[in-house]
Amino acid sequence: MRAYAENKKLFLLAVRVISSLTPGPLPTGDSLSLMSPARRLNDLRQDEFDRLLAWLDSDRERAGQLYEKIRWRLIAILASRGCAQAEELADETIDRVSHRVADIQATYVGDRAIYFLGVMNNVHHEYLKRPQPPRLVERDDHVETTERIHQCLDNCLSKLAPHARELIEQYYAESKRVKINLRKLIARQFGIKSSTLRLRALRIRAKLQECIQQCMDVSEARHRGPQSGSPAGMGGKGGQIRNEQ
Amino acid sequence: MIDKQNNSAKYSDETIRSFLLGQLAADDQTFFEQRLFTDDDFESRVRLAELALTDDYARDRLSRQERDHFHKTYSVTTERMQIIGVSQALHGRFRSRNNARISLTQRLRTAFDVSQPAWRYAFAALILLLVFATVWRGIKEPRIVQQIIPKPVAPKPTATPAPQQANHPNTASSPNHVEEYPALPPHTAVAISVSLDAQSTADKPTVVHVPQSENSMVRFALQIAKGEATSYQAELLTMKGESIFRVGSLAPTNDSKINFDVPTDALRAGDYQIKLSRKMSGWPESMTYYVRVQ
Repeated sequence: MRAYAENKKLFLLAVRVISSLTPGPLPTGDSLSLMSPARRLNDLRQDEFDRLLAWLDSDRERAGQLYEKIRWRLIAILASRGCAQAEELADETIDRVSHRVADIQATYVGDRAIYFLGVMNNVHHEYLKRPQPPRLVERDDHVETTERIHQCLDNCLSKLAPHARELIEQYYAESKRVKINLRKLIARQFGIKSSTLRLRALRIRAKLQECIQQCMDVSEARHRGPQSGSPAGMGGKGGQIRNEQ
Repeated sequence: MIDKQNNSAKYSDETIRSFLLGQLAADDQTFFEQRLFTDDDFESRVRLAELALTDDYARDRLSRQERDHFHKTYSVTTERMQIIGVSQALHGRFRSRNNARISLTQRLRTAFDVSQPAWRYAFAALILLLVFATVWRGIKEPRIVQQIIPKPVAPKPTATPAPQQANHPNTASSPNHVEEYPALPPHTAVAISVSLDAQSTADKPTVVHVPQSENSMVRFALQIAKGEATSYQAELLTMKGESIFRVGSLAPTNDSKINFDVPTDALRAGDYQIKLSRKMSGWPESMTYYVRVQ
């Protein structure tokens, strides 16, 4: 599992390089010029990233997981605040924290995740003062992406346990009109409450999402070719789904 | 919805959805963000709520306002777009199997589940509607009601005697019990038959010797004018006018007589008068015969 943090680090760096070199969705050329200095750096050094992970947790695996959580939380909050560039600002926040870890790690007391929240507030304030670029919607590879999602969905569904697959299949088969009633019937069939059914189905759905996400990463890496620098082992995790029963 | 004093307060699914759609108030947003950053379990809930939200979006279950907020606030990152893509793929994949997998019985049971509040209200409304319709119909068409419920027949009004007349008769003596007997059956033995005509007067009554035997009758053959064919009422009275015995609906015989049978028990020694009454042209007409019992 140690490879996870290493791979994640390489992956993040690779994505940043790709973002700056290719006209991909994140960021576009216009929006890149409007990025804060921290975002434009794109030169997060290996030692800074290592220091960040070490500051988050001494165990690199747990540190990687915490890093993921913090990034997700930052994006969720920024998006909820109506920020159209939630991902960019989240990365900018992480960059700033990474640069400061060397200065604060000896004296900082308290929940380290909260520190990110404080930095994010500053980043967001700065963002609000800047002129807002028009929001660009990436639609170029929509059909291709949809096809890949369907392929990955097939792949991930086949890895589910029969019981979990049946549950998710029935849960998503319900029609719009008889949604609630049918959920009751399905719950009765599985011998559980409706609320439990919903929770169980959503957990399986979360596992599916994770599996599909990793499958898509592998697929995208193949699609971009070897020059993308995407680590070969990243998609490996997509092969395992811990089934919800 | 949110307990601001207690950071460990429970947030409803609706609140979490509001956060994801950027619809929380500023104060609530601050507390929510702090909670999200410090509570791993809460973060898991928000992640699941996120999936539920994208599922609802893919199935077109969001309101118009929610859809607008979803486009503006939620679908802003590539990762989230991918989540939406998975929701749409799941929805598209299993939607077509819906019809095949769910049996007709299940669908009917689901559609007509009487335990559902909506159906309960519908039935209640239907019953109320039927009641109101019935009442309205009954008001508009009273004949229908009369056919179903017959009109109660009121008893015929009867003339009630004035209290004084009813309770205080004019006679000074105590009232005798007067019974109106029907015509006596033919097997009753008639001990004696007496013919009476207009010649018997109060001064010169017809004398009758009544035998003292039980269950015997004295027949008074009252002479009437010929050709009278109507019903008569005969009444035995004392000379003071006290009624002793009375028989109605007496028919005349062929020889123009009215047979008035009186039980021997009712006769004591003394003078009596027999009043024979009939109705002519709506007015009572009577004849009186006088008898002396010895």
